[in-house]
Amino acid sequence: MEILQVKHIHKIYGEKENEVHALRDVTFSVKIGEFIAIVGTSGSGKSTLLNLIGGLDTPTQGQIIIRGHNIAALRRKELTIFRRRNIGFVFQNYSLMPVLNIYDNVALPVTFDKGKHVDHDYICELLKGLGIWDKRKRFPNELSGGQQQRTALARALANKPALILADEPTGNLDTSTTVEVMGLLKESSRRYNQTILMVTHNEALAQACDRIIRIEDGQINCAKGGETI
Amino acid sequence: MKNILRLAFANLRYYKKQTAALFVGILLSAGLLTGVGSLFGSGKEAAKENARAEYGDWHYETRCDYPWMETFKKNPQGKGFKVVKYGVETVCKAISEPFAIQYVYGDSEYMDMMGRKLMDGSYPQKENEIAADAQTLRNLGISEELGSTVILDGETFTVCGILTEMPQKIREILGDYMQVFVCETLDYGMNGSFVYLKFDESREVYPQVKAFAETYGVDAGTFSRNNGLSGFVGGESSSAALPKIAGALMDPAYGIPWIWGVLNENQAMTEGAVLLALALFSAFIIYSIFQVSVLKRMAQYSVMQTLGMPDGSAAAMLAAELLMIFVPGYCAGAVLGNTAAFLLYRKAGQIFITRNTAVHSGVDIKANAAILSVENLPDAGRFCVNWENIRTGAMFLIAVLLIVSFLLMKKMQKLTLRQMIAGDTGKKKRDRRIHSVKRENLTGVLTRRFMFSRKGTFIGVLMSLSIGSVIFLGAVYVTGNTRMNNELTFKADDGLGSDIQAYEPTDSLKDTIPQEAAEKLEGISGLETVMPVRYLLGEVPLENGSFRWPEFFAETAGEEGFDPDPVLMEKYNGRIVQTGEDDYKIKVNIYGYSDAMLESLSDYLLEGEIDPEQMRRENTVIFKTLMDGQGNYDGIDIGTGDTVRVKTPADTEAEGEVLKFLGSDESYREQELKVAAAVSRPLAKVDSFIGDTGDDCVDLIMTNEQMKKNFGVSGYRTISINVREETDAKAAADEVRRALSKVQGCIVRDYSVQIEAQNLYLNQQILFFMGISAVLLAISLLHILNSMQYLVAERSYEFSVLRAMGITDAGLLKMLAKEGLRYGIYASLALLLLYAIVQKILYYFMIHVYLYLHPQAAVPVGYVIGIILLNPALCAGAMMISGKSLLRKGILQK
Repeated sequence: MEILQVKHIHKIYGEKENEVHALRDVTFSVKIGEFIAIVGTSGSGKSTLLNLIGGLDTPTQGQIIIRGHNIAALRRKELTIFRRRNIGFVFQNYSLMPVLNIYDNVALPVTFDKGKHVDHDYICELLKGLGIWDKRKRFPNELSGGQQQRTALARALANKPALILADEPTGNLDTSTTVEVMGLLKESSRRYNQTILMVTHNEALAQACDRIIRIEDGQINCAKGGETI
Repeated sequence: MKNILRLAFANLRYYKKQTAALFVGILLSAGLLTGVGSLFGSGKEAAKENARAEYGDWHYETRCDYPWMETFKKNPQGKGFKVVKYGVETVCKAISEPFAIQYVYGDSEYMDMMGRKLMDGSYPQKENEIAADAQTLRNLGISEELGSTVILDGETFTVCGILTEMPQKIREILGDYMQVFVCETLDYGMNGSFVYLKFDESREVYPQVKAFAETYGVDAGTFSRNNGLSGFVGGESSSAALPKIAGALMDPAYGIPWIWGVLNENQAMTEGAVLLALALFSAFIIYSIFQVSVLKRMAQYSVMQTLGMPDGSAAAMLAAELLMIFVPGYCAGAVLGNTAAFLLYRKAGQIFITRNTAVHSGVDIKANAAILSVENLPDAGRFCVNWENIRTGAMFLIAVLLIVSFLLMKKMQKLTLRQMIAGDTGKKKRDRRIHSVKRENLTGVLTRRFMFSRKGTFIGVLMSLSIGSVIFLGAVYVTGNTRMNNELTFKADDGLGSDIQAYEPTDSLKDTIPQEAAEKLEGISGLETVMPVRYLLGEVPLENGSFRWPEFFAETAGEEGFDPDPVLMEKYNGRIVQTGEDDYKIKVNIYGYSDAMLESLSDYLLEGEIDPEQMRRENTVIFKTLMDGQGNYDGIDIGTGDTVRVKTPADTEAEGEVLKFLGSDESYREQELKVAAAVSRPLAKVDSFIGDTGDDCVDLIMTNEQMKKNFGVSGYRTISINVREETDAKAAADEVRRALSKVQGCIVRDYSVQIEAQNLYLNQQILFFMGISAVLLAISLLHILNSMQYLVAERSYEFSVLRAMGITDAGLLKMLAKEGLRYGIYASLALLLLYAIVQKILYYFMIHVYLYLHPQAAVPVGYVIGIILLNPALCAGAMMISGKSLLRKGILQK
């Protein structure tokens, strides 16, 4: 069953002579539970694509349908709530709240939903599963990069989203931590049946995913295999 | 260096919000600081010119009929001084009958310096000619016409010229002496010559007169100073004040009020304190924004240091950034502030000039009435930009900024580069509680954590948010009490409590306004109140140490140079006599007031209660005590409930020796009267006996009925009359004059013009201070908006992450509003705390330094509540506005 459909997406930045065509007619779909790598060179449009899927930006043309909702057609508030409940983000620079401890950072997105109680057992399970339970009272700047990225991953999973978008989640990590985080992503995908779209320019990491979408100059590069399974 | 400047400039352009916030903060602060400084400076310049007109255009004077004068005339310049002008006055003769008169010859420079212009005729050329001003001629009993003759000391003189009057203050210094000008050749063999010197005012004149004295070998101690002008032109040795201050610090009897008084010549300290408060306010504003922006950029500085930039360069870059904002901000602010000040000064410049009100107490001269009229409010002159203030303000703020930069650099040096890059400020204690376990909503926690994560910044923001409001409330507090004090002193000390006064000017108890004559006044239409006052002189024993201030009176102080008034000694045996080691007898003014006046006296109440009915019933009195130079009233141990034994002449028309209270017992009667209340001032005063300036005499006040019953006094010494609003005071005064025309010697004065002038002056002054405080408040509010917007802007990345994580727009705005509210509430709490301290200091100064009467006026509750509510509302509003602007941008922009 498809959780995400990207249909003929175009994204243009700037106007007239400053116009940059970041994405051109990108179309693909993703099934539930897939772990997909979006690969491309720097400036190829992979992060733009991820941002559009996450509703952080709007496409110039085309449709993005997640769980049957065209997110481009959602109103601002609806989109925010939809994103909160269905999409989890993992950023390259972790983007944790520096003033909250690890536990509260993870619980934070859940608390945005009024009336939704924080599932502490689940958070405990997440933190233990990611190996940072004993760090739960620490603050982000007291942890290593790998530990911070695990926290970011835990936060992305806290709302039990259907889709996790990870933008270069291992970009700041050393090799052994990268392997660890990748393992955790895969494990989460398997354990919670979550779909993961991960942007990376690391070919080796991409090879570990279920499928690879290659982007070049804003287009899915079919010549290089386009979508590789 | 070039690279540093380039980098600093690039930073400014990149961090537009920080730059703009700092620029606005500096612009507004500089505008206020320099604008107020120029207003004060212009007022001072105008006051100097007014002092020149009142005291004469000279700095020092000394006797000059010595050989050095010839040397000086040949060579009037020397090292260390520059004489701009000098004039010589020769006193040829002085006589005391029929009046105290000096025969004077003044050269043209002297006449010019003293403002003695020829209005008619010519200067005396012959030895039997005189020239004088109209007032002197009137006093001599001759008409103000050329050719009139007068016999002085057996010689007949002809008036050949009529001059303008001598400077007002010189007249006061000369006292009873009048001047008539005679020709240069008139010589009685007793000539005394005096040279009046005016030095170059572009530098201090005191060092110049010292150099002058050294050059010509004149004893510096023989120079008299023009006290009116000296304060404006550096006429006093600054080193002379230091020993005085050092002495005062050692002697608890002097204390801060005295030192403040010494240093506060021409309001220098008061204005300095206002400017310092504004400068501190500005410093806090700039500091609070700057600190946030620097801490925010700590990581970048550390990256640059990692790349090899030395510590010194980082500090230089920081300073360069600051100066690049400061210089244009301060200049633009100075232009803005001075333009506003110029417009304000053009409208109401007179209020910035220190003004001495003439006192009227029943024996004033008509000339003073004109001096106090609206037309004679001091001339504001032209607006002057106070460059010195602009320079000092700039230097102060630059110094503050450099210190802040230095401290921040020090703080950064304590951290390792890694800590700085990671934004880890090395805080040891952190609240590690997991809040999501107990709370459903973490945004409150997040807000609090954001606020308190940098305590220095938080305190800086709070201080800058609250200081503007504190200054505003302080200004309102002082303004309210100044208004109250002005009204009280206006009525009591200046004697301007009533539109019209009728009085007997003599010092004879016989001369009174009969009761029947006073009753006639009741029938005159247009009069609102007629308040007659009875008077008697008395003596009260103060025994067993109940008089605590023997040093207060010259008669008992025993201090060299502090001599009793010879007239008072002659007529009344002084104001006080010592009868034993701790026993004294003090002369007292005994007044009988009407009920209406007694009610007005309640404003001056120190203790007890004023109830005319009860006073009549129980024969109690009101005790008006002494006030010292520091606003204390505890010189005499007599208060409510105590009994005063008063001795009065048995004959209410007694004269001569009886009034010395040295006669036989049968000449007097003694009576014991219980004190119902104590007051700080009398209202209608009689100063023709032992005098009464309001604070230097003891008075017993009772009802007019008690005066008659206790002492048999039925006639009135003064009658205070108020006219109805719509009534023409001048016409009413004429009516009063007609009604009292048969009362011998009775004088009727219309003071409505002076009252109008004073009210106008005081209202303008109050309006100005309210205006300044309102501007200050407005700036402080703008600063609140600026700070709040900046607080949002500097965390826009975190807010974008929250948005990406799913916080709704409404949720984010609510969170920001909550943070704003918190800031506002904390600022209001800080405001209350700071204001409580400031109010105590202001109260001390009002009472003990500025001698305010009863500064009981509190800041209106509405103002306090308004400010307390305004802070949170504004903070929350500003946060939400900033939040909305943040929400208009895409999440990805950050």
